[in-house]
Amino acid sequence: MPSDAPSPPIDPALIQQQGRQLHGFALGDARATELAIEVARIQERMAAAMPDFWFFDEPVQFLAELDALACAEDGQ
Amino acid sequence: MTDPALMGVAELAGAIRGGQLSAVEATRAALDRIAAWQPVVNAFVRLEADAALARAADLDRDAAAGRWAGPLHGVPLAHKDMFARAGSAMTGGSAILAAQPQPEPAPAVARLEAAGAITLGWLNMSEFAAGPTGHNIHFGHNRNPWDPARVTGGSSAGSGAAVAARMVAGALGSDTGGSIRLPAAMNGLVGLKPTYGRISRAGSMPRAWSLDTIGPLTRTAADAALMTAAAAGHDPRDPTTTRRPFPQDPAFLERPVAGLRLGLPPGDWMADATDEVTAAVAAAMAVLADLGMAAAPVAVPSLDPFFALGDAISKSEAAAAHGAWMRSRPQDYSVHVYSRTEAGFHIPATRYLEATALRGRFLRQFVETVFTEVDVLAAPILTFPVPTIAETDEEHTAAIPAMVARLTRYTRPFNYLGLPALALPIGFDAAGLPMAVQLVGRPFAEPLLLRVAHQYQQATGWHRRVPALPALATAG
Repeated sequence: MPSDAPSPPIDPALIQQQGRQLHGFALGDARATELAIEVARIQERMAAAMPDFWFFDEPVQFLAELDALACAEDGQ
Repeated sequence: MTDPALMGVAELAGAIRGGQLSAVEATRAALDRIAAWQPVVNAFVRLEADAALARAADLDRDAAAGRWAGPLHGVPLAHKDMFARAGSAMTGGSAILAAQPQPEPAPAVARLEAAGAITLGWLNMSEFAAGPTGHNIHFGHNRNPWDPARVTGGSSAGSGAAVAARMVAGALGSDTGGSIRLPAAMNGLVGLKPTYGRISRAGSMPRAWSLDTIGPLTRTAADAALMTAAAAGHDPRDPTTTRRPFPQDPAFLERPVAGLRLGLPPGDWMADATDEVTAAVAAAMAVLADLGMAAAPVAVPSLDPFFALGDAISKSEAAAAHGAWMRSRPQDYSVHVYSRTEAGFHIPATRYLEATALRGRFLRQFVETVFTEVDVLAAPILTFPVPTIAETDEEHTAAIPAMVARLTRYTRPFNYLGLPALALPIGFDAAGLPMAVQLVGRPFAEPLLLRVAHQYQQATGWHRRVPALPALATAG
């Protein structure tokens, strides 16, 4: 599936609303602004790492890949 | 005979097995050393001296009767205070966890004890395993035995300080973004972050379950191999654990490394390194080349995406684990840990799922790009000197993410990829502070990394340098 587009800058007021209404945290204006910047930065970096298209990937495949990509070990 | 407190895991086990030393003598020597160094480095949060001596006496009686528990018979160890154990509280370096009901005992520690190890006590750490420096406002900051004004690295901070100060021969730590490798690097130790799934995490405090690993901090690769051999293995209580065996006979460490391919650290990873770190890494690579390894540059993908994806997973999972306490007991968190966890509540679930879903694909791409060309990849851990406690005592919430990112830049990506990575001490800078390099391998290549590290240590000897006990006035 196409990866989600990079997020636009995040409004600190949204962070405050999310904190209060979804998670039960009260956030001051200054801290909400810091978090908005940090979350936007995280989202931007993640979006840059995503392939253009993916469809057949699932978290459980990671363990299978670890096993499949191993080589014979010393001492065995 | 050498002071038993100065012996490593393998040396102690051999002396006890050979009848030159008793488990009680080894335990008393460690307790004496702990009494001298604890005021300096603050590595222990709980010492269980009476129980340890009683267990040592039992093991000595067993040995006299010809009953040997295993390859660690009588060896005193201590571990990061985040492993559940019957009859023992676990703090996780926090003001909260000691009052919580304990899960079943952690197999990682139980397996070491089944192999004959003695648990002397429990080690200080970063609060909730969430800091790369070793600061702790609840139990006091961890201090580096090579210079008590410097950080130990974290979060397995006490594990690093205790082993470097020779309070114990080895310790377990955990690594979610660098928490074994950073204290190993900053204390001059071998630290093994194993492949995800190599050692059971059951009964251990989670930081971010998709990234968490358990591993040893020791002075030598041979000691780390002994501890890993005892602790590793499938555990039905941790379904991520592999059934792939780990070699039990340490003779594998002696096989030559000549002919193995070594990938030199890419130039851009070393671009901001100090001259001393650059020279030490180059000298270490030259030693490995002298051992016959074929050292050459290798094209490596940027680590930045893996850092970003790992960071998002770590924050999201930590927020899920800590939400209830952060709402009900915010006053019991440090600013550092609380503020680092907050962002996780605002990362969309879809982003978190992208990061976890694509992990297998990224792992395959990385391995097929790098480990078809080389057997071992070298990477920096820290490109600058061990920082002071004061300069990293960051309470400004906006500045904390950058400080953490600077310290974990070269460690966190390998947690996202799940690959084994070993911190190898490679000397000391002009200030007497340890320097290190990281060896990374294919999934489950811990034996290979340990073998290379062992041969390097045989050829050099940095691990034999012992920190001097400073006057208490300088410990502050």
